[in-house]
Amino acid sequence: MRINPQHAARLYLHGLTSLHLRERVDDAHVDWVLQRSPPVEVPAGHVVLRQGDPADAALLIVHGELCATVHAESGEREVGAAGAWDVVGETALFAPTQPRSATVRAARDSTCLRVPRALLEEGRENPVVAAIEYHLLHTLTHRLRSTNQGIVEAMAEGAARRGEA
Amino acid sequence: MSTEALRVGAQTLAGAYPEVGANAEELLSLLRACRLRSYAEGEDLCVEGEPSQQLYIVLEGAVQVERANDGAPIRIEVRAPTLLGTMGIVDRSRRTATCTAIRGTALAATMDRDVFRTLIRGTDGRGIALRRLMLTVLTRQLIDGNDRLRTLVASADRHGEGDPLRSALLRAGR
Repeated sequence: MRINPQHAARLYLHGLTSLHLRERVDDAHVDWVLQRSPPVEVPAGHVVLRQGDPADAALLIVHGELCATVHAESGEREVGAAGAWDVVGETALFAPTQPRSATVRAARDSTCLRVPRALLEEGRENPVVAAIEYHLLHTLTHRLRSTNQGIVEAMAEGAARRGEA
Repeated sequence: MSTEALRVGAQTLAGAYPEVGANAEELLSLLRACRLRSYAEGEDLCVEGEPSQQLYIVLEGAVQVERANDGAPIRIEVRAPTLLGTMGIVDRSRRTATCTAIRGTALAATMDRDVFRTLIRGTDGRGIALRRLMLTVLTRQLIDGNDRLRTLVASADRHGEGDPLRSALLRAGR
């Protein structure tokens, strides 16, 4: 059954706001966001972000699945997957000079909301925008915790290898 | 502590983090919701393993961040202006490092969890400033962390140790 993207995005934003602000907001606040950031349907296999491109927006995944790959000297390698409620490309919003660090494709048919910095600026007093920012805060916290753990493990693995040599 | 110290702190934050997009008045209103506190050299702001009860906006001085790491401590030094205790206040986890004032006195605006939980959901100037200040600091820390992780993997590759480190990179989702 085909999911109506507008309906799915409206439910998503109401859910996001209830989750983070613990209140139900007026439809008008949700509609304001959807008018400026209409849901984007992404067919399976379609590239949504390309490594090296200028970064100008984050993507909120309403439903579906995206996968990220990085082109390195050793070739293309997959570095992660993201599903509904996840965010990709979030560093674009508060470090706009950083190019995209990975290429992101739809692993299956997906729906996303594109969040440019301008949406945050124009919607400063919209509670749905506040909920989106709080969601980004949780996403960055989770990512930074994973990265810090990765650094600790990488240092430990490296030290262990050197100790064995 | 004087209003002037808060005003200088707000201007310092606005200058150091232009990506925040909040003006000095909004940052000043945020700092007014905090308690300003001095930490003498050697004094701990927070201790690894303790519950995360406060957010620290370090306005002056330097702080050592130390993670015990099973007897192989990892230490970094951070300088004002910066934020400490961001992750724990968001996800309610325990402190993953001990933060200690070094090289003299450190001045920090501290925000209790209850105040944080109220302000972070707000659409007034304080809520906007708080969310965006935290988003900016976490974004910079994430970019720096990813660069460090990639450097570790690249270094390991050069020494033929790449496989386990690449596993760590994958586990970190990078």
